[in-house]
Amino acid sequence: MSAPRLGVMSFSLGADLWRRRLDVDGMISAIGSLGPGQELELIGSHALRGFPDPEPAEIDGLRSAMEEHGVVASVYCADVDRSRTTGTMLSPAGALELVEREAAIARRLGFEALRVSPAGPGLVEDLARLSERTGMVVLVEHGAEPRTDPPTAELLERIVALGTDRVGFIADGSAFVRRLPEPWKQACLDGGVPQEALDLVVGSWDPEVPLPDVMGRLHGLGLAPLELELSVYALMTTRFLFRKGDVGGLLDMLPVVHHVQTKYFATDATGADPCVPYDEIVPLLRDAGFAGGLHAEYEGGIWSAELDTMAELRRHQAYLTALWQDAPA
Amino acid sequence: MFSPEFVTGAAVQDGSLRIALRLNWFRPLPLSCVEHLGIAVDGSVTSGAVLVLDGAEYALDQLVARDDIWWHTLSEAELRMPWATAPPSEVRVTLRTRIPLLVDHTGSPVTVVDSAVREVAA
Repeated sequence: MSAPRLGVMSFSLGADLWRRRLDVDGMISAIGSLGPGQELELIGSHALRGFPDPEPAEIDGLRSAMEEHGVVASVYCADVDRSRTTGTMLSPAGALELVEREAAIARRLGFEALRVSPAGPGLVEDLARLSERTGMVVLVEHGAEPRTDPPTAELLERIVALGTDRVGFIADGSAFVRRLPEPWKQACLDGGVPQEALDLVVGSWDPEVPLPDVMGRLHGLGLAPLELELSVYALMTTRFLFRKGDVGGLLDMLPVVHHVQTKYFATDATGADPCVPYDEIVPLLRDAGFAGGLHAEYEGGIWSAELDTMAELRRHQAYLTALWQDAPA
Repeated sequence: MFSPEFVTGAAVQDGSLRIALRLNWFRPLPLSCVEHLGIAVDGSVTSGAVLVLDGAEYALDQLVARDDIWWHTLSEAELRMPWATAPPSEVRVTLRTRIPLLVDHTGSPVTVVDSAVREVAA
């Protein structure tokens, strides 16, 4: 019986780093404890104190930790930062120069693939050149799918047109969100979003109400300025992070998908998260012959200090494996 | 990110009001991305605080110019201001940061704001 390739996106443990529940070595050890051959997608910036210019000794120490704990270097994750400097908005291609500097860190850590995020259709040729210059596979992390999102269709078309396996996708499960996560809703309230504003934001998500309409109604609630700012951020979060795409669209992307980030927010006792339909996604991947990694990206921890990250990861990976090993219909 | 946890403590010590805090984002950012770091003490907006980060002090109105200094996820930071009287009851800290990889539909950078109230330890 086949089994999926399992791994973890280090963002899953980012909240544990932030809350000082783990240090970086502890994070790597925890990922290794999930089982042999865990593939790591590593956000270099949160794992290296010296970022963006870490000392070689720090990089080598991190690599040693990965080797010691049996974690497989899969993808180094870099961000396309366009506005680090106040008043300056780099072009996407200009910001890729910052990513390219990280490629040297990634290679020294033993990674052969570089994730970039975000990247639109206009950047694809630059990504191919980045791959040539660095010798690394360049992967776009993407949380939308082509059947419901025209820019994604264009991005896919341009990547396919390159005719190379050196540029591709990491498909993000946030493209297929079916419910807004309860931990996120509670965090909104705890953080100062008034209940009436949250109700409005949640109610405008599915079916989707045009942004200007929702903004107008939020402004009409008579909120204090900070409450309004928090509420607008909550609204934008629903549009950025929780897309409601067609799972079938994943099939169109698969020829250029190297890995899938199985994003989720909180599991039930069976390991399922009602927010993302992995019971549809995993069989689709398996039956299509997908050979890439399923890299868990747990996000509930950023909104809830009560959830147990490692228990969440174990339940989620067991659930994915069980779905994978069910006989195809 | 909506986490009031970013303010981790507040106390008057050695003639200073000290407020411990963490960056309200899960990856490091240059200080230039801190667009606003405001403090209200017992409801009154105050000025004159400095941010102490990794042993160095930075005036709050100078943060936006410092794209050479990074606030790491694991760094413990502190807001510090002179305080010669009895400890106040509470402080509110509001932190607005620019997320450099996120650009909204208008082409502007996305900012994240968090605000938290913390009792001041006696």
